[in-house]
Amino acid sequence: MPKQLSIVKKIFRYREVIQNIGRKIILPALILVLWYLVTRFGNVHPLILPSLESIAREFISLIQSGELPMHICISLKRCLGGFLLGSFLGITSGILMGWSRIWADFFDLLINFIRSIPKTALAPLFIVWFGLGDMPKILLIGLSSYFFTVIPTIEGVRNVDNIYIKSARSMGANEWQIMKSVMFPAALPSIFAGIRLAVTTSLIVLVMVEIIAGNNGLGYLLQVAQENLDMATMFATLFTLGVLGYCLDAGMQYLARVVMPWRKGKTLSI
Amino acid sequence: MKLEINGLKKIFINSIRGNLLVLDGVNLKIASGEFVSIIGPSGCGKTTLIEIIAGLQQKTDGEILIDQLPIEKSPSNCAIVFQQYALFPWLTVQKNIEYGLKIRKIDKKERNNISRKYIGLVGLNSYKKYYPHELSGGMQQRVALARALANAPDILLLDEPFAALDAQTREDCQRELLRLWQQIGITIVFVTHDIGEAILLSDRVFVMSSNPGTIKTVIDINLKRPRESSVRVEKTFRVKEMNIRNLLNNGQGEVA
Ligand SMILES: Nc1ncnc2c1ncn2[C@@H]1O[C@H](COP(=O)(O)OP(=O)(O)O)[C@@H](O)[C@H]1O
Ligand SMILES: [Mg+2]
Repeated sequence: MPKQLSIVKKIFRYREVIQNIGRKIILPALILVLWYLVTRFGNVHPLILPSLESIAREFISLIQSGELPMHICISLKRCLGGFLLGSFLGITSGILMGWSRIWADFFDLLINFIRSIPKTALAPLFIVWFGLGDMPKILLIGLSSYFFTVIPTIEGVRNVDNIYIKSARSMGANEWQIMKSVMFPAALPSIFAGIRLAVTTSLIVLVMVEIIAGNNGLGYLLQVAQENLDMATMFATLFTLGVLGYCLDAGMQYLARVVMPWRKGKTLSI
Repeated sequence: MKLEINGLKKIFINSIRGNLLVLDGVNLKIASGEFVSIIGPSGCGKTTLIEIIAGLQQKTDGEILIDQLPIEKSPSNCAIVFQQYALFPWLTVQKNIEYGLKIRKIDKKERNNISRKYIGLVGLNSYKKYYPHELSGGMQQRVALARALANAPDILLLDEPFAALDAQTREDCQRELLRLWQQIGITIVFVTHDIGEAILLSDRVFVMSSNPGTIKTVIDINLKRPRESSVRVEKTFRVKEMNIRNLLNNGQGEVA
């Protein structure tokens, strides 16, 4: 009997999942249908809104020629390189600053000053300093990721409930052990909120720098498309960026679930 | 382990609101293997006292000796159980219990053996892979107890451990604590504000008064063991209960 019950439950659960997906798909599908109708029967110039078929055709040929995959790889490398560098430094220095007032005070003004400058405003300076290659892009993305992770990490570490620290100390943990085994895991939810912001923003900064100073990458592709008024390539690239951003964010959420299994069932939203 | 405290004093330094003398002239002697309770009005310094014994706070003056040795130099160790359980939410029951062992770099196999033993002792065998938030309050406090015991302490300090539990669960936990104490034979210092709980569990009850916190009276509870909750209706029990209640009421403040 319980076995049958669980099968029934599974079927219900299955239907629920289908329903959820169904609800999520309605709006995008409507937009696509509308797009199709407008470009097909409406009197819209293809330079404003190209047809879905032409975008798809362009997308496929860009993939087949190997051009799009190449730009994706280049962009992804910069994006992940900068993000990993920045968030690694952000998390480690954030833990240090959250743990020690002295370090926090030491860096306080500098961090808050640089944080207040829009990262995009630093692009011209970085291009002058580091040229047009990967370097200025990775550094800018790194800088933005740094600030998105360092602040939540500091806050996360500072807000660790004292009772956990007392508890660890009563079992003989030293400062370093407390940092590693209490401060860090206790601050993880907060750190992951920062990581999600950092990864999303990495893509923004990346495309922006590639548009103003790139000879490859997805931003460059957009910029060329703009010059040539090649709307199909433009939309194909935008679509690629959307997918990329979505996957990066989903990847981070997945990572959060793997790294913090104890948060299962609790919300992971920012 | 024999625990002895002489002339313990604690002042919280605060330049804005003025210094606060929380404990003054606290003296107590606890024999090895004894179960004592400390009872007193809220804010009289029970937590401060117990955290000083556990080495989590600095004392201002006085001495704490374990077997005649100053506690800092003594090879023996204390474990503490807090009212809010204080289990690490990011560790499973088993990992929580093994935490102190891991800190002391005890190898994995030995850790597993020890944690298995204590998980069994508190009857949570089938919950070792659970996270704390998946357990009820009573189960969490049992895990906290197992975690403290896994460090093989000579003295177990408990700070109002059952105060947040409902009456039924509290009684189960009290019974379990008594059973463990008899089984393992360690020294227990139990802080509570529940008079009945203090009498039911202890060999002796230290009654504190506040402002500044000090030991007012020591009451011997010579009820025979093992005790069942039915002792609560015995005359001796009720006389002691009345006695302690009067002591607390004559002091400043209420029993919270
Ligand atoms: N860290 C602290 N700094 C200043 N005062 C404190 C601190 N901890 C406790 N106190 C004060 O010491 C007194 C005793 O507190 P506590 O030991 O927690 O009492 P109890 O556990 O008996 O309720 C209270 O008046 C409290 O406000
Ligand atoms: Mg207290």
